[in-house]
Amino acid sequence: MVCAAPKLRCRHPDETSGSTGLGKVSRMPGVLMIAIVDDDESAREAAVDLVKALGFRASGFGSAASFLESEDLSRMDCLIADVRMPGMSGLDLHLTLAGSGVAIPTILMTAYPDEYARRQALVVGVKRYIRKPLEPEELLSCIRAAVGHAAASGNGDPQPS
Amino acid sequence: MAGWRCFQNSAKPFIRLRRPITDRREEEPDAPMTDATGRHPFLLTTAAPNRRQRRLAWGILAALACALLVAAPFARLILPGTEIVIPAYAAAAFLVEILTSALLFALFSVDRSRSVLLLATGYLLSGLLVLPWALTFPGVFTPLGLDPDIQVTPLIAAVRRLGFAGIILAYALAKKGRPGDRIRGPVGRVIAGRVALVLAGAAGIVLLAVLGAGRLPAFMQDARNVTPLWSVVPAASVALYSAGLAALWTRSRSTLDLWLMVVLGTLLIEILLISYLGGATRLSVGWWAGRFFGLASASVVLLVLLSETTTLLARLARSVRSERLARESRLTAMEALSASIAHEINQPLASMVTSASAGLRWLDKDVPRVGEARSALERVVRDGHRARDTVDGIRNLFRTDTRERVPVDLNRLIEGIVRRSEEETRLGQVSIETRLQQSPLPVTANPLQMEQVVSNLVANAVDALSTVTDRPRIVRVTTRSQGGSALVTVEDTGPGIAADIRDRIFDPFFSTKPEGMGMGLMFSRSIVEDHGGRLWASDNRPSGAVFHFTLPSGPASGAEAGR
Repeated sequence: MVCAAPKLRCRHPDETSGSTGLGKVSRMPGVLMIAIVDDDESAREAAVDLVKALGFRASGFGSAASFLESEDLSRMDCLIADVRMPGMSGLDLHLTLAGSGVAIPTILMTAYPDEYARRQALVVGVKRYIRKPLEPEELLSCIRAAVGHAAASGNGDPQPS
Repeated sequence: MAGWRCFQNSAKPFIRLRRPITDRREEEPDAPMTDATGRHPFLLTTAAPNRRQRRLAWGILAALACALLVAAPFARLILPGTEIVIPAYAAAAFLVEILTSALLFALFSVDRSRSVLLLATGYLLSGLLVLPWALTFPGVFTPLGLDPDIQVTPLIAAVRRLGFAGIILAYALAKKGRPGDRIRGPVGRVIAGRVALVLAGAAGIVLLAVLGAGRLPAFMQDARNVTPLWSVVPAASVALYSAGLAALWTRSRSTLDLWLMVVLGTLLIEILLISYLGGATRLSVGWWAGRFFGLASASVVLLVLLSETTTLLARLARSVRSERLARESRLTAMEALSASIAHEINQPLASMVTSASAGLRWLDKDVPRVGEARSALERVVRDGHRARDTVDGIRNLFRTDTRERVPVDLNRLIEGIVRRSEEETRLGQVSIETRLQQSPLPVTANPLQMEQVVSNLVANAVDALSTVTDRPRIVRVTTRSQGGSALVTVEDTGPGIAADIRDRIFDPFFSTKPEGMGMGLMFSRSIVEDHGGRLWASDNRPSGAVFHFTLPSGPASGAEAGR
């Protein structure tokens, strides 16, 4: 594939990309809406699907910029962003959001965990710092902790741990 | 996909890897210091003298010859009372010869050559014998109570002069680079043994001279004048010096040999002044002139040897350092490359784990969501293929058949690549044009590697167009024969290559793309050069970049195919 291809796709969030059952879930009131920002397409699709399987609604973005441009920004209850991305990193995205007064609880994920970077992130208000590949139980507890209420279980999740 | 494409472009850097790293380590301590025959190319004993050194050597000899002519008319004039200069002369001669000997012992410790050891021994003996020569010189150290037989001094002088001449001749004759010339065993012990031997020898010579002075044939009539018997010593010296010069002249000469020839020439002039022009009369102008010219020349030779040794050592140190730097940068490049490879493989693996977890979750629902589970599994399959492609790409790098060359029609190869990149170009809204030479364009090449080069250049061109919005996005591939070469150009209408990065685009790990490894152009260039061609970049007009490469056209030449 060409480099341009992911960028073109990035401008169209995966929210409406037609995976089965999406419409049903997204109509449910009270179910949390989670944004996933990751430049790697397959990682993003997998994360979006896992979050949905955990019972949340989810929407994927290929870059921090496309997320910031999104009209759905205000509807997001939680943000899960990759640390290493070309252009704006996950941490920069969090700082930008915080700076513009949009307080979306943020979870950073990375395939290259680093203790110093983790502490730096938590100091500036990132809720959780988790490693890839995403473990379902860990992700679930992180989302719950990030949004701050235990009731934030995914609707229809049969086995909340 | 953009990432693993880079791996396909296998080339020399990776083939080099196949040589085990441990092998390199074992070779390295010696590698920069010895040439193919195991000699040290930087040492005085093996390095050939350059023109500047030869000129200096001839200059010294010419100056001495002039001095000889100037001193000749006054050679027999006696300078009474000049005995007091003898201690100063002896001290200087002692120091010069001991230092030269130390230098030669140091040379031996690296060179291990028997002949250099012999030479060092000769200098040490000569230097040591200067002391008793001066101490026993009539009228010099008398106030200190030293007043030996007048025959002691000439005995020591004769042994010193003939011994040194004989040793240089032995060096010149022995040192023919025979295999048995090298001495094995601990250097320190060999040198210490040799120094002890010389000390004992010198002491023995002095003792014999003192004890035997009355019984041996007399060399001196009185304190100043020699007996006719003495004439044997200068004659024998002249014969030995000449033989040594001839031996050094006829064989292949090293820098050390050149300076030894200067030394012998000097000694020859010295003995002419002392024993013939000066009439062998002590304290005559000729006698003094010979000694001082000899001393001056020996000092110059010592200084030259010192400075050359220092220069050679500095050069050696530099080459060791550059070797180490090269190894370090190679390691750094390898670390960066392994990190890139790990990233390329980890990325799909992580996605597979996440997708599989999601799939399990969908199936664990009260009412299993088979549709969602299926699409998660489909992603697992897709990512699995992606990981396999990456691994295949890496494995391709290590294929043994990259040197296999067959006749290839570049036109057909390019048509195939253009056809296969249609999906990419359509997605990128790029139109790809070909202007191929009508007739086939035969080259001898590795088809797999050539495909990698062309597809890498085309992919780069397509990538470069991704930001273009105000003009048509066009990639044009052109081929034609030019001289004895096939010329291929890949041009685009993108933003072109910025001047400040132009020099770096062929460097490893240099990339302008966020997900680029920065290996593609480096590999492409090394593949093309491996095929005997050239790859370079230029500007397209009005905008964009053009990459050109040439390959020798036609069937392989014998050399190319046989490599």
